[in-house]
Amino acid sequence: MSRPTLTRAQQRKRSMSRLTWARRGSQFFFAAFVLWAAVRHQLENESGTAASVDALCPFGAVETFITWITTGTFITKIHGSNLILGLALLIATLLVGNAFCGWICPFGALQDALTWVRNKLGLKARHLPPAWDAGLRWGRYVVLGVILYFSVTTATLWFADYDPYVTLFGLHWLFEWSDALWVGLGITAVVLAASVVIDRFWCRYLCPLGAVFAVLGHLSLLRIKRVEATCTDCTLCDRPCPVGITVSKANPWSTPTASGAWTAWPPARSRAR
Amino acid sequence: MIVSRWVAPVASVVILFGTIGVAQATGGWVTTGRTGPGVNTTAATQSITGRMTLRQVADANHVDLAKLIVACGLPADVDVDALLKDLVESDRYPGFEVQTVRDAVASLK
Repeated sequence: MSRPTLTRAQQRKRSMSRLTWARRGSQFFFAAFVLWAAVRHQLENESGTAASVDALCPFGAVETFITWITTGTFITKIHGSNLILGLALLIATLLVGNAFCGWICPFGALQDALTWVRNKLGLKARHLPPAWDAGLRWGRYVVLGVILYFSVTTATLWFADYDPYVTLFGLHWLFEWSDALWVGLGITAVVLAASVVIDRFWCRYLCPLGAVFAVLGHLSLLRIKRVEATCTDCTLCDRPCPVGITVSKANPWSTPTASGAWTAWPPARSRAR
Repeated sequence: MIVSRWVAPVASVVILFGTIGVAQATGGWVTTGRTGPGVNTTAATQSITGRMTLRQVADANHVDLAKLIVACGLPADVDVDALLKDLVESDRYPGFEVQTVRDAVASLK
């Protein structure tokens, strides 16, 4: 029996579906790995033998960078691993764009999981008015600026007490409770609640690493280019991106700063420069 | 040039693990160690946690271990390699908290 011939749109959808499942697998792997590292760190018998989630976060490289350049020292809780991870992501982003947010980041995976649960419950996502959405996206740069200021002036990992990623995946709330965790847990609860309503709320409006990627993305060798003359406006390319990047309206370059944009790659007619 | 949609994610993961591999091979992959070179020991005073031992606190902050024990109000026979959180939870040292160590280090520096 011969297999039915698929239309181009069906072929593209099938291809996108395969990539989406691969992305979910990758997200699950990295989230599970970080949780395993956190449990190992919490259960270690001898202090200092297992990496903490702080040591496995590339944003640590950003937080300590100014202090490292100016004084030759790291801020507290930062190790060589943070710089290595930061360097790896810098190279990758400059060469092929940002795939970290969609494929690797455990906190992004958690937000995607919340979106999945919401969809299973039949609840609809909320979308802010475009002007609000555009304005609030600058929040990432504000958060980044505040973190850099306090990281430099205190020479500590100042953001760790407020970071939803560290709060949740560090598992201190499970193994090493203290009342000081309430602040971080409160922020995390608000962010996760907002992420149920708005897809990837943290990534869209607050993630400081996302701000760094947004800047680096403009320097990437590989970017999505929409060719207006041949674009069919099918908008298939917009669908996978939970942070709402409208590749279909790119004029002509679209920077896939986060999440699933690479799943849509390439749109009907796209080019890498 | 049109490239496969798999290029970016696959290349990113390969670069990530490749960089980590090179770092491990050259000794640059360091994920722990509060007393290692490059640690800002002044700030480390503020980041003493229950996961450190008295010996590590003393080393990281360049204070004498014996003086630290006295400043903390602990007996001389205290296990200096026990985690601070274990000392806090122990019934042998009532009133002892991690903050006690932070204050002691600050007074000795």
